[in-house]
Amino acid sequence: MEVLFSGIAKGGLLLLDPMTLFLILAGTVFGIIVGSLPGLTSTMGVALLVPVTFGMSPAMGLALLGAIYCSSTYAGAISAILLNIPGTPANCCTLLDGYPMTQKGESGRAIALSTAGSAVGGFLSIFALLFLAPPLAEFALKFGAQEYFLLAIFGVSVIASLSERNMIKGLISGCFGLFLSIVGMHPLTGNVRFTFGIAELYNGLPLVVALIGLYSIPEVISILSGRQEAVKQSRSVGRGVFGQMMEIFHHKILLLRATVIGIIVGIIPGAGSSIASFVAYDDAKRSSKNSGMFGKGSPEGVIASETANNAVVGGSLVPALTLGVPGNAVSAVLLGGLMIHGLKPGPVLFIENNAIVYSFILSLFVSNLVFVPVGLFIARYCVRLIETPASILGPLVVGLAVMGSYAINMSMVEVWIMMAIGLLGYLMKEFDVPREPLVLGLVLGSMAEGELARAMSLVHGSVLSLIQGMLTSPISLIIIGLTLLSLWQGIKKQLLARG
Amino acid sequence: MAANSYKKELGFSVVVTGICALLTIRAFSYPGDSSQFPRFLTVTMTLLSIVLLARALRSRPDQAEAGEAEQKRSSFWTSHKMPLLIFLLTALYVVAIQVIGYFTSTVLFLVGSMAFFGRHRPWVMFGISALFLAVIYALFVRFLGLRLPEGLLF
Repeated sequence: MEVLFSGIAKGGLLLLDPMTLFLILAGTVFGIIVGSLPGLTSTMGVALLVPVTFGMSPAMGLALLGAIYCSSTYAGAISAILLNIPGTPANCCTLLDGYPMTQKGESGRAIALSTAGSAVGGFLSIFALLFLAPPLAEFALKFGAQEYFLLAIFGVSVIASLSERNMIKGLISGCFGLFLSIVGMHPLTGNVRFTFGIAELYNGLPLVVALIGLYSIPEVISILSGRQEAVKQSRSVGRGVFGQMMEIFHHKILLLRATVIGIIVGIIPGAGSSIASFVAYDDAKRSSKNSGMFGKGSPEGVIASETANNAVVGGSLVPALTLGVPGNAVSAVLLGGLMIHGLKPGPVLFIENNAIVYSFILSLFVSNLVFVPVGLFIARYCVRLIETPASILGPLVVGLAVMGSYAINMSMVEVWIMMAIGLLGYLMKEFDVPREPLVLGLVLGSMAEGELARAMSLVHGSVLSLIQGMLTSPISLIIIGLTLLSLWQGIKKQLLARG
Repeated sequence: MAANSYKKELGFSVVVTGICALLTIRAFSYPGDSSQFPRFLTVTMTLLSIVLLARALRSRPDQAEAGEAEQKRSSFWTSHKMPLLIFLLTALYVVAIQVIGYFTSTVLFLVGSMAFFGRHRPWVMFGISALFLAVIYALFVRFLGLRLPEGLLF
C-alpha cells in the first residue's frame, strides 16, 4: 500500500504539468475524431500517434496515448447512434438500440446516455486498475521463465479460440504473429534469423510499423474501393444533453453489472471491447423488466453496451502493465508505446517506474472526465466529420501512415515494411483471417521466445526437464489448464456452429 | 460451401501450406540452440494449414457449382482491381518520395489520388494538401525535430 500511495503522490505531481493536461485534451479530441470515423479504429489511432510521442517524456507520451484509447472507445458510439455505423468494433452493439432511438428522434438522449455510461464504466475500471494492479503485480513476481512462456501461449490461444468464424485461421494468425516477432537476432545466442539480408530487421520487426501497416492500409483500401457502407443522411444532435446524462443513475445495478463484465472481459487476454459489449448487452436484456424494448430503442441497451466497452479500458491494462500480456489489440499497441519509452512491462514496472505508471493511470481518470464535455461538443458537429468523403480521407490516412512509419527510425525501408504488412493485412481481411491474434502474437512472441530460451538454459537445454518443471509447478499447471480450456471452448463453439 | 468460395479457400490453404512448409525448412537450417521456438512455430503452422487444406478439400462443391465458379472468376478479378490499384498508387508514392523528395511527391500523391477518386475542385485538393504538409512539418520537423525523407533530386 505504501508503494501505491507514494506512486499516486508522485504520479499526481507529474500529471499536474500543464503540457501533460494539454496533451490529454489533444489526445481526447484526436481520439474522438478517430473513433467516430468508421474504419479508423482505436488501435490505428494509438498506433499512428506512437511515433509522435518519441520526443516527449514517458509520462506525457503515455497520457496522450491513454487519452486516445479512452476517447476513441467511447466515440465510436456517435456514428453508431447517428448513422447506424459503429465507429469502432467496440460499438457494434450500441447501434442495436442507439440507432432506433435516433429514428425515434432521441439521438441527443442516446448520445447523452452513451457518454455518461462510457465515462462511468471507464472511471470505475481505472479504479479497479489502480487497486487490482499492485496485488496482481506482487503475485506476478512468483512467475518464472516457464510461467511467462506459458502465459504468452495462453494469450494467443485465448484470442484464437475467440475467432468464432474459423478457429484454425485464428490459430494460424496467432502463430504467424509469434513467428514475425522472432525475426531478427535470438535473445541469447545473437544468431540472426529470417531477415533475408535486410539489416533493419536485425533488431526484429518494428512493432509500431507493423501495426500501422496492418490496420491502416486495409482500411484505406476498403474506404477507397467503396467496400464500406455509404454514409447516410446526417441528423443533428439534440440540445440539453447534460440533463439527460443523469438518467443513467436510474439504472445503478445495470451500470455496476456492465462495468464488472467489462473489467473481467478486459482482464482476460484476447477478449476485446466488442465481446464485453455483447456480454453486457445480453446480461442487461435478460435481467431487464423491459426486455421486449431491446432492439427497438431501449436506453438500457445503449447504457449496458457503452459502459461495458469503456470498462474494458482499465481491465485490459491490468494484465498489460503487471504481466506484460495485453488484454486486447489496443493495449498491445500501448504496451509497444511503453516499451519504446524504455519501460519494461511486468511486476517491477510498479517499483522501478512507480511515478510514470501512476501518472499514466491517473491520466486515464482525467481522460474519462475530459471526453464528456469534449465528446458532447464534438458530437454536435461530428456528423460533418463522419461525412468526410472517402476521396479525401483515404489519401490523408496513407500520408499519415507513411510519415508515421518513417518517423520511428527515419528509415524508408521501414515504410516498405509497413507496406508489406499492409498488403498482408489486406489479404487477411480478404480471406477472413482475424488480424487480432496476429497482433497479440507479434507483441507476445518476443516475450515467449526470450522466456523459453531462459527456461531452457535453466534446465541445461533438456526439453524433458522443462516439461517436468511445467507439470510440477502449480502456476504452470493452472496456465496450461486455462490454455486447454480456451482451446476447448473454441472447438466446442465450432462444433455447435456446425450443428 | 459455394463453388466460388471453395476455390478461394482451397487456393488460400494451398498457398498458406506452401509458405509454412518453406518456413519450416528454413527454420531447420538455423543452429538448434537459436531455432527451437521458430521450429516449434513453423511446424505448428504447417500442421494447422494442413488441417485447413483438408477442410477446404472436404467441402468440395458439385460439378454444377464448379461451372458457376468458372463464370464468376472474371468478377473476382474485377473486384480486386481497385484494391490493387490503390496499393500500387501507394507504392508509387513511396518510390516517388525516394526520388523527388517528400514535399513534391506528397502534393502529387494527395492531389492525384483525390482527383482520381472523385474530387475535382483544385482549391480543395491543393488546400487540403497544403494543410496536411503544414501539420506534418509543424508536428514532425518543428515540434519533434525529425528530418523528413529526402529524395535523389530534392
